[in-house]
Parts: sequence; C-alpha cells; structure tokens
Amino acid sequence: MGVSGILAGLVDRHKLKLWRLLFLLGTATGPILVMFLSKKNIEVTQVASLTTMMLSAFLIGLGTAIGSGCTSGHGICGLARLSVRSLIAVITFLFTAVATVYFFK
Amino acid sequence: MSGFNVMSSFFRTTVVLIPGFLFGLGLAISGMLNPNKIIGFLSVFDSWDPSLALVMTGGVLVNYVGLRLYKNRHQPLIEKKFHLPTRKKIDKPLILGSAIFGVGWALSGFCPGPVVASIFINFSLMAPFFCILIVGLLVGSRLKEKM
Repeated sequence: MGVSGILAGLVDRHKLKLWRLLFLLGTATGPILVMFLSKKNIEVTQVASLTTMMLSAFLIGLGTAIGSGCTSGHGICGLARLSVRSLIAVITFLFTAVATVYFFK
Repeated sequence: MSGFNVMSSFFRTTVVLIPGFLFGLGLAISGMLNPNKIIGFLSVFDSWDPSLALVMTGGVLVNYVGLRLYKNRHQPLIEKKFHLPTRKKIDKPLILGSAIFGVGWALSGFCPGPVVASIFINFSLMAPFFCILIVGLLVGSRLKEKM
C-alpha cells in the first residue's frame, strides 16, 4: 500500500505496472511544482559518503521487502488501519533508526 | 470494448497521477526530502527536532478519517473492491525486515517515498540510489520467500 510496495509491484512480473508507474511519476513531479511555486530550491543533500549512501539504498530495499512495508505503508496506511503488524513494524524501524543515528552519526 | 469502456479504463489508470502528485507535494512541503531534517528527527538524544512526528500524525489522522468515512459504506470510486492487507501474524520477517529498513533509513535520511519524490531534483545522486534500492527489493523478496 505504501511506496515500497508500489515499487516491489513494479519489479514483480505478476503485478500490473502502469498505475504504479503513474503514481510514482506523480510523486516525482509534485516537488517540482513546489519549487516552481515557492521559487525556492529544495536541497536534496548527501549526508554520508557515497558508499554509505549506496549501502543505505540497498538496506532500504532489502528491509522493506522482507518487512512488507516502509514509512508510508506501515507508518501511514497501516497505522491508520489500526494494524498491529504495522504498529510493531513502526516501533521496530524507529528503534533501529534512532539507535543507528545514536551510534554512527 | 465500447468507446466509453476504453475511456473509463484509461481514466481509472491515469487518475492515480493525482494522489501520487499530492503525495509528492506533501513530502516536499513537509520537509521530508531534506535528509538533515530526518536525521534531526532521529537524533532523539542530541538536539532532537520532533517536528516530523507531526507529518506522520497528520498523515495518519487524515488517512484514518478518510478510511472510516468511506470504507464501510461504499465500494471504491475506481475499483470493484478495496485491496487491503489481510495478514495479522507478527512474524520474524516483519521484525527483521523493519529493523534492517530502520538502519538503512538512518544512514542516508531517505525512505522510499522521498527517494522517488527527489529523483528529478538531484538526479545524479538519487537515480543510482533508486536503482540500488530496487536491487535490495529484489534480493529481499527472494529471501522472504525462503523464510
């Protein structure tokens, strides 16, 4: 239901592709309009070394596939549906994220 | 297929551009595309910036109200039925996967939504990021089948 699920469907040959692509295209263009209207640049900064960034990207993909969701899927849709699985997922990823920042940043 | 059906099938598919676009707007306006802001939110023990909790709270509240108002009385506007997750079990993949995702999120300050939303803003950084994320998804879904 969230972005990781939509992305996973995009690379699953059994799932429909077109609506997923269009949703993601909308998501990618929305911020462009915000920049245009506010006349301010949105800074998308690199906060770690390139190696760490790419490790992060891999772990995000790996973790959301195994855990069936991300911040939007478990965090927004799941919590709004009062799903206990999603609540456990959110507590778990917040815990490891806070711990990672505490120990490595 | 009649002209009307072709149109309605075209409409049903393309209309998702609108929620996608709104989602992108929301992420940009709320500061979710700024990794420093995310790291600030996660730095609970050092100059904590709790403001992003409002993004999640706002998102959950609006989603909850919308779902409540709509779900029990209607079928969806553009589908025959809602597609909602049915699994209830708290299992090992849920915990393990979420734990791995949390580490990845904290290392860069990005989660999947903002990765997609920022791809055209910083293409040289986010396009490779996006591709490696997809590789991770593919590896993860293989591993999950064996769990």
